[in-house]
Amino acid sequence: MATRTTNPGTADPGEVATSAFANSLPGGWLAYVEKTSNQSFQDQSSGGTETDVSGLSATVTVNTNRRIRITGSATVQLDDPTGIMLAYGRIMEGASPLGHWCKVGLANASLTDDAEVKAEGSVVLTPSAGAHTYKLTMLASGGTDLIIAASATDAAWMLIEDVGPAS
Amino acid sequence: MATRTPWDPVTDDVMTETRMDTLARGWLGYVEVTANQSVVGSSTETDITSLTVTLTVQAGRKLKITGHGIFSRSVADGVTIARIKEGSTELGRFCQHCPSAATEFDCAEGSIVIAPSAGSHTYKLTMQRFSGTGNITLNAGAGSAAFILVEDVGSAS
Repeated sequence: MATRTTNPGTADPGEVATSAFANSLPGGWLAYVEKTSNQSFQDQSSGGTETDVSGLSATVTVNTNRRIRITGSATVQLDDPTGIMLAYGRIMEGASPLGHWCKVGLANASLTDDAEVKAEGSVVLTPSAGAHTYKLTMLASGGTDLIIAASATDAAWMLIEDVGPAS
Repeated sequence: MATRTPWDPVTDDVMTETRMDTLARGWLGYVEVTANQSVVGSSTETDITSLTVTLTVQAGRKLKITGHGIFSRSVADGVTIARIKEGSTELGRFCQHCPSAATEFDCAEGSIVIAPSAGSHTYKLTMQRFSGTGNITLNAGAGSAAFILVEDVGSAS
């Protein structure tokens, strides 16, 4: 378990904002990317593989001893109204999986319209200082192709935030 | 509805203690698990082992607590609920999962925002087979951790 005690919530008059205090604060967002157009993913049964979500990749410079949070979000939709969807979306650095932003199953046998779900998830890391490239991927594995349905009013996105010092 | 206007610094502004107090302080507690946990054949609400954070909250702060986990059921005949709690008090839910087939997972993530009293607080995640039969499982691994995250998002008002 990792915990820390931040600066006291009540500062005293005349207190100086030191560099230590500044370093204890969250740095806020480091990267935000979004996509506003659909992307299809072929199911594994038809030869599909885990594929990058196009546009949802970012390279950030992480400062020394920082804790970051990476969040992915998208609407995931069955490409066949009678199919079964298993959607596995991961947050990756290169070939290394860091966590899931989406892992959902959906069977649409009783519906007549395209079944869909809003998926969102994150990971919390303490990476080494320097440049890191993170991305979102998607794998369709349920027998049915799927779509990341994205538009100007329902963007798919990835957000990378500095949430404070590593400890 | 609660709103506030953060300090908008301009050139030559002084960092006063009041302004320091308004700033978000970042994460306060984080713990993850990377192994599966199951509740077998029971509808009893169960603490998710290790997903508990004890911390000291400063006076006048607003916190955001997030739970994250991937849930599945052995029988798709009911609802799985995962909660954020302090002791026996439910603060909110981060998962409410009702699959139509046992092959369906739910990568669930949800948060609550609270302004607790100053002092020590212990927050935890729980899971429950709220209805139906069979077993429920929190699925977690090295590249797919379940976690609880507690953040200070600023002054309470």
